[in-house]
Amino acid sequence: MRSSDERPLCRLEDIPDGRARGFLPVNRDDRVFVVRRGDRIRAYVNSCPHNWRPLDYAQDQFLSADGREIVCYAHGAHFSIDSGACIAGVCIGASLIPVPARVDNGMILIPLELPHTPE
Amino acid sequence: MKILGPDALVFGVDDLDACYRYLTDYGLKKVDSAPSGARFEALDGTAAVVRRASDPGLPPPISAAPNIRDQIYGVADQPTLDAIGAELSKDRDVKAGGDGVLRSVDDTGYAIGFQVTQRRKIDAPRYINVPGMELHRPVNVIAAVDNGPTPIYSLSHVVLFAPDIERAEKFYAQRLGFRTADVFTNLGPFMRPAGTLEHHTLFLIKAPKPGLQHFTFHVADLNDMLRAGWNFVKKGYKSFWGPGRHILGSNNFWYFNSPFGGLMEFDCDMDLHDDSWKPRYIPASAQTSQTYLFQFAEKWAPGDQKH
Ligand code: FES
Ligand SMILES: [Fe+2]
Repeated sequence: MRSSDERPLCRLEDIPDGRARGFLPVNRDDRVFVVRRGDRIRAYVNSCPHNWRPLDYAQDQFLSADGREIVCYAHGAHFSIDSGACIAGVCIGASLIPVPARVDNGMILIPLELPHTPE
Repeated sequence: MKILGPDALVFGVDDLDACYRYLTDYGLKKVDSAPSGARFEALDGTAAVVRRASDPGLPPPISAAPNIRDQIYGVADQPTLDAIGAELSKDRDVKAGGDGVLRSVDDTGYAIGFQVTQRRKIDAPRYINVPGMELHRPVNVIAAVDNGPTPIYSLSHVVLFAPDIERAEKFYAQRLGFRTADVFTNLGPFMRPAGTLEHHTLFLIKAPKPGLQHFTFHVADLNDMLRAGWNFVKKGYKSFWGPGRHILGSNNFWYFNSPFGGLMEFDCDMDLHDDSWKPRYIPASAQTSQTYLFQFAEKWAPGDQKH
């Protein structure tokens, strides 16, 4: 069941397995992105803790080519898909801001209110 | 030492096709393509070279792929090349490759190479008219035409993270004769080699880990920079910062996220300096980083819906 303080993003199968997709654009930047691996998803605010800017260089380009890590395509920081922790690059030790996401009846849901971003 | 600036930057990447598309859309011309990578040239023959990160022919990585893997500096002549070889071999390996490139490494660990420059002379058309100035754009030549891709003139500068910023600057200043043009006291120095007047071909930024911060080619002027950036946004690339105009160096800028491990910029109209110039030391902030800043907007006109 979807509660009134949640919003649907898309169906699970709308994100190809092993890929990521951006959502909720403001101007030309998506505010949130979701990574799918099988039935599991992880969602993060599309803002890199290095300069608090979006990570992608083109639509839905949030991952390394092998799909194993999140990459910030501003200055090349790498992040763990599972934890959001920066594991290589300029903001090592910092973390992406997670968005609590769940799948309900095949639909990806996130809270209406997104976590606060420092800048 | 008459080092002119980078002739080529080499990137180790994990998605060759995406990088090819990106550089083509940026406006560079693909030459020399092989399964292991390709070379993309500006009008003067300076280049961005893209190779698979796993390519054993590349110098070892100093940060996760994709990222910069090599910088090939152009120098004025063979005596300069010999002088660099003699200087660097005092305390590190210097190898002369079959390709005419002398290869070594800087004090941060970035691979650097040197070659007698392969830049071609370019003849830039004049297209700006200013009242009181002699005529540049001829009569009956229209300026506001979007005639295809924006010409990309020349590789301008590379910006690198350096954990030990003093040591990184010292290497380029004392061993290679670079001048410090200006300094952002909380970031690092803008440097130019002795063979160019350009405000900077290298900017070093203090950071916990090494890696590419950004790189850029020069376009002709502000109009071409805005036009190039506009078309780039329209192709779906994500703007990071700009368009605006920097204060140190005065260069107009527009930065975009890229698949190379750092930003790629469109740049034009950088200040020129000689050795009489005294560096400015100022802290970087939003105020000191730009004279003005704009943002991409969709086309609009008053009364668009009504006529
Ligand atoms: S903004 Fe992400 S690495 Fe710099
Ligand atoms: Fe720049």
